[in-house]
Amino acid sequence: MAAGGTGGVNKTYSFKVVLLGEGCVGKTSLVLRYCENKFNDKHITTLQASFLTKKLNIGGKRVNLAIWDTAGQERFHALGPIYYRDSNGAILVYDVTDEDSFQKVKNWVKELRKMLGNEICLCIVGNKIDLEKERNVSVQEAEGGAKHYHTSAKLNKGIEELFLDLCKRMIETAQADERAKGNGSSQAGTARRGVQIVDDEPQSAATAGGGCCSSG
Amino acid sequence: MARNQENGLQTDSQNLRGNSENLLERESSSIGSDSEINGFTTEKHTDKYGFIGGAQQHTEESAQDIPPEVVRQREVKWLDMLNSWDKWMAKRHKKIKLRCQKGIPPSLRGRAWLFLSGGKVKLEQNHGKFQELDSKVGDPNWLDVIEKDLHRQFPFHEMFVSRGGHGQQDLYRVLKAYTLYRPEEGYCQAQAPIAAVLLMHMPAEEAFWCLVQICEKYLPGYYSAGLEAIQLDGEVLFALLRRVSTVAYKHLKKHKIDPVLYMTEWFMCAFSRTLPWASVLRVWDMFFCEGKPRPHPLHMPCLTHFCLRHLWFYYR
Repeated sequence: MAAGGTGGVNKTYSFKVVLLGEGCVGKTSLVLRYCENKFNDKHITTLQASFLTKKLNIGGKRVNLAIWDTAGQERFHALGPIYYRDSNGAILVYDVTDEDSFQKVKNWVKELRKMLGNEICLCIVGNKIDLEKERNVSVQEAEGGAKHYHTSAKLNKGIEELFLDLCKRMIETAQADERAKGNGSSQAGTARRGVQIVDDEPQSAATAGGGCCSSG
Repeated sequence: MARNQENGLQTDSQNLRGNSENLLERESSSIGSDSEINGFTTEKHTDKYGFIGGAQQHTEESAQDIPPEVVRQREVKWLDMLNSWDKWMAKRHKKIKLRCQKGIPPSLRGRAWLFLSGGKVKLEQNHGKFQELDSKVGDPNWLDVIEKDLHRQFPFHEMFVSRGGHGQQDLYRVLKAYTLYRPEEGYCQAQAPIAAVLLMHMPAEEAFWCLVQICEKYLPGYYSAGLEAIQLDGEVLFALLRRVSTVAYKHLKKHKIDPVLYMTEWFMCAFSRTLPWASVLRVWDMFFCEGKPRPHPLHMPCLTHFCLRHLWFYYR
């Protein structure tokens, strides 16, 4: 489910986004608000990963999002890799009133970076800002990590922005990826217009960097 | 996968997104979020299983009513069995099974489950144990997690609708007692719906011993750290699917839909969140009688249904 789609101007990107975070921080509520603009305080614990989809158009680029909601309890970590493999983005949610849940997010950042490197775009989300009075995670502390957002699924705050921003970043990552692949990691898009590219000898691949290891 | 509380037997493509949608519609039409303490349940239509809404609420189509005279007959037979249970278990187990297959009469279901599961024996062997556990202070880490889950079990069942109501209190007691009974196991979120279903049918102490039996005898390892047993059963189910429906098998394989992505909730909650309520009860009658709802042809309509929905979703 990596960045797919066909070539050409009207490209469609398909991204997989996974929501992770401790139980009861509002992962399901975020997805539900974003995809269906609903908020429900009568719902059941998420035990089963489930997904919803959303279609976007960002500056003429079509994006299909498959958003995966996951179970929060530590015990279900065992199934974590199944959920986040092949993800283009991850939304790591904590509850601003719950310091513990913020610590869990930090652990997720570490795990995802270790398992997926920089290929995945991470967002840290402090949810339930409608409960600002009960905040237990200071804004300063929270801002220290990866790209940070503040949301309220209940009041529908910050959620559109979160997903839009994430999509833009995933598009950038996908484009950079394509450039790297398409042009054999050498001179990027500059060679496109006006310059005739002539296929040269197959050996050229070996001559990339002068001396230093260029495995990138 | 697609949220599961929806009615697994109805082919309703609108329902792909499942329960949350249904729950929401019900709610927006009726219940204010803060009014629940005030016992709005009385104003609402409560079905015969205690549901006031939600996807599992009883509908005309979801179950056939059995004529009262048949129910009376069955009750008499079950009372007779329960009164000399050991004898029946030793000598006429086949008959018990047959009667479970027909469905245990609602009025005796709780008692029957307690007997069938062996919870009754456990309770008698451990008199006072539950009260002892109940009076202890639990591990705050587990209690914290349990408390967060109390209002998220069958929120449309009259027993669990009120925050801090009797249903939620008993649920807390049962789950807490289990973490004290098996501190090395602790609490798994999937135990809560199981305990809740039990509590709909029996008092806390009995529900506790039934839960113990389910966790240790029926579904050993399902709720333990690592969740290995459930993953293993997922593979077994998938292998079985290959035999039953190659098309469905290949489709899931092609799209890398790991069994864990759709069967965790079915199996860990013994279908209590998946099927229409009348079916849940019948499945549980058999579950207690025959043991683990292993990958079984019974699951196949469910799985085929899932595959169709997935196809529809994918190619939409």
